[in-house]
Amino acid sequence: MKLKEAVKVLRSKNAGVWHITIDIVFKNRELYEVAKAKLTKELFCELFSKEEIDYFRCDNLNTLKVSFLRDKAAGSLEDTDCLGANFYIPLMDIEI
Amino acid sequence: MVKALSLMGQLGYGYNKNSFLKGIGEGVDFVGVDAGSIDSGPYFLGSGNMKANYDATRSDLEFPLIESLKRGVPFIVGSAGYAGGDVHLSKFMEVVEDIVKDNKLHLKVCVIHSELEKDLVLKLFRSGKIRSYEGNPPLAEEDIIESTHIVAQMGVKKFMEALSLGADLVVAGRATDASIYAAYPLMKGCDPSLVWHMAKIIECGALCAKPASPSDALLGWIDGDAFYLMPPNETRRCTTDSAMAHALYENTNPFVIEEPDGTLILENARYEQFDDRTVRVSGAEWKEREKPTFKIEGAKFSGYRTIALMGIRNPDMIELLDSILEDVRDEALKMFQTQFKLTFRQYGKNGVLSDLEFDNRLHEIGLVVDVVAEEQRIAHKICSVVKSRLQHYDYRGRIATGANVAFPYSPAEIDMGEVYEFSVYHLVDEDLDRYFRLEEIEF
Repeated sequence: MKLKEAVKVLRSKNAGVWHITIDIVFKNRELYEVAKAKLTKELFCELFSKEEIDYFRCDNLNTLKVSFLRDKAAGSLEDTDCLGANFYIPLMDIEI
Repeated sequence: MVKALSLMGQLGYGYNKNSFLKGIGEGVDFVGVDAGSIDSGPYFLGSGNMKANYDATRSDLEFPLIESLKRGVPFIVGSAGYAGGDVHLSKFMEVVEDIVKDNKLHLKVCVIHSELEKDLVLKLFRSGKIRSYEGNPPLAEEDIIESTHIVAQMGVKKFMEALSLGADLVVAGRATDASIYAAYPLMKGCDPSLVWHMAKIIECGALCAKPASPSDALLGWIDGDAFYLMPPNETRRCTTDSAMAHALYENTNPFVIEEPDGTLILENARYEQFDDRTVRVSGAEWKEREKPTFKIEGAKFSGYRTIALMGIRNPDMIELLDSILEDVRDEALKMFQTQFKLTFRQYGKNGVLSDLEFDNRLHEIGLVVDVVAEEQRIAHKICSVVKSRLQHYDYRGRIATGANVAFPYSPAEIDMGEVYEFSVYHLVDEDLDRYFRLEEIEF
């Protein structure tokens, strides 16, 4: 099953000028637990070419959350996505 | 009990009049609205322009302000004029003054300034009181010097001072969103844990409801050992899920929210469905900091931008496009000795995800030639030359010798005006409250 089929919400957003945060809210407990076991911190680091990310498992919300520094500040000359609203795209088709 | 009405999540997006009237009819103690952010980029702080212009600001402010005054309910605006610098406050106050004049209103306004003098920021920097924010690059002296405006996100203290002076309207410069809503209930002695948690949720208006909207109102009230959330608009509901999920939004850490005067910890927060459209919340913890910490924001001028848009459909050219662009860039660098920044944005290929793009399907590219230089006419000239090089570039295997690209617009070059970039987004370990100036104005 693809990640996009298991979620209610899959979104990314800027958190201030320098950070991106991605919320992955699952449809139910079962899918959350499956994904939680499968989606490691290393996988997110690799997908976003980051050495370090913050990874939160929010059991009460059936939600996984990933936050990291962006390479360039929001709205800088070469930035492509000021609101950081498209950083979830590489996650959509991941198999869980 | 203290009851707050959040007009909407962002002043200027168009509020819901019926929701507002219904909400204020519930006997609220104050009305709040957040008017700013950094989300729309560095332009507004850098240039001094408001994001919601005069008309948008006036149409969201006029009726709710008049109705609040009629009922003796304080009206609190935070991050006025979007970026909350002194120039934004003056532009916002022009709107207020016109509303006052045209409606013959009498009121007391407290305007709170949180723009910082560069000399002060330099002094703080040199004494080691400014540090990175969650790992972002450290600040340098030139970042401060080059900034056109530097503001601090004020906490709750000056809002409280304004309310204790009897302000009917508080117009605050850059402020944390939650401070707008925390000041009044803290003054009334409510439990800070409940106050800050409620303030953090209601600052986005009905964004924490279902269906969600930042352009609609939300009621929040503190009663005993819990607070309650309910949208006045009967087509929306607050649910335990929608209220809980809101803690995730725009926040890097879902369990911890930092404010200048302390930290809100949500790990033990409890959410219960109180009635069909109301959620009851309790259990968060507030830890007061020994010394306050403020976030400061600055933006600097980076030049003038000219862009040109063109479509590329020929598969042979698309195949070679990266090397064509490299070649044209090299030529431009040789031709123009002046400082400039040339960015090619290839929409259809990797214009959104850039280096993270993984999908190689491709049949058409929307190319943006983006030039930033120190003068508008220089940016225009460079953009124009790069555009014409691409138009006539004789790539390998070229059979169409008319023009390589499709221009939707004449002229192809579009002058975009001033460009700014964020230069400061850091933390200050110093009590800045004493530098925030409070102005009392009687109308």
